Amino acid sequence: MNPLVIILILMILGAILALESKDLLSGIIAMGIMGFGLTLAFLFLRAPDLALVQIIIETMTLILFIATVKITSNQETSERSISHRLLPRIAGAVFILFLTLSFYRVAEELPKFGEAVIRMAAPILAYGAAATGSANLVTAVILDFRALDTLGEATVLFTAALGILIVLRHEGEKR
Amino acid sequence: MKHGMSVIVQSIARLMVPFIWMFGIYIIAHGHISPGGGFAGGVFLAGGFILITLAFGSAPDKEERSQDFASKLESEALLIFLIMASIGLVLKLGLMANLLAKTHPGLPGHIAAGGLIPWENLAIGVEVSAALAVMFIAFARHRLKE
Repeated sequence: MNPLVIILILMILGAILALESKDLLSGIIAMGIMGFGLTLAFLFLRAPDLALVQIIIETMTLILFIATVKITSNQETSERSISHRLLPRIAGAVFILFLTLSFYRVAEELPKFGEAVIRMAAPILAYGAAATGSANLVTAVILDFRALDTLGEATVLFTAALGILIVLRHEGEKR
Repeated sequence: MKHGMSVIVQSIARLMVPFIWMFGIYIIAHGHISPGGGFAGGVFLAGGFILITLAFGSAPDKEERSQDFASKLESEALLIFLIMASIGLVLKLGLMANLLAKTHPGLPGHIAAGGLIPWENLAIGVEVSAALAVMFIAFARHRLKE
């Protein structure tokens, strides 16, 4: 059996556990199964750049979530009645049915699992290193061929920090 | 955040943080050779900073100063990245044109290669680490106030 399939099944089980667990702390740990499983999946798909970012972001997110639970409470506060629980489940079942039916038609058109055909990959693999001088072709793409995306990404991070500074500002407050 | 954690956590942090920062700088500097780059390395640097702040605690006035510093650093890094992006635009080569790679191509796999790419990696690394530090200090100060 493909190890990737085992990791994906574990990730799905972790996601279900994270949704269904009553204790929020164990829900966060179950979310960690999903994140670190994704790291392993990236490694199996030979994407070390993504795996590196994923493992550090996942660790920091887990620490932030655990800190939040430690400060507040590890119990789910809202007790929902049966009718409130039933409606989202029916809606979810209908959505999953619709998604499965539409994906069934699309899946026939898609390339086989793990054998994606990416048109842009061939010229970048052939000329990327020579054109940019960067041996790591991922960096060559994100900082040369598609550098505009990286500029946008940096701007998003800058805007996020700016927004947090504005919302949580200390100066100029009424005392 | 006023008080740090136990002496065990402080000793481990004192041992680990230099290596975390060294690894972050390595990831940024070798972004054009090995996996990684500005984003991953910047998160490593910010993670080391967060570990130190959590382990040793910090005073409110020190937090204000480091927030100002990180905020300025972040803005300057993004400005430098924008300037590097617009050099190509001014010279009518297109936005983010890798001018240096055409004049001084270098050998792929060497550290002095890739033209503007290592410098852009450095700017992105500083930007990411400073932005994450700003967010962390802002949350820590907000909690301190209550």
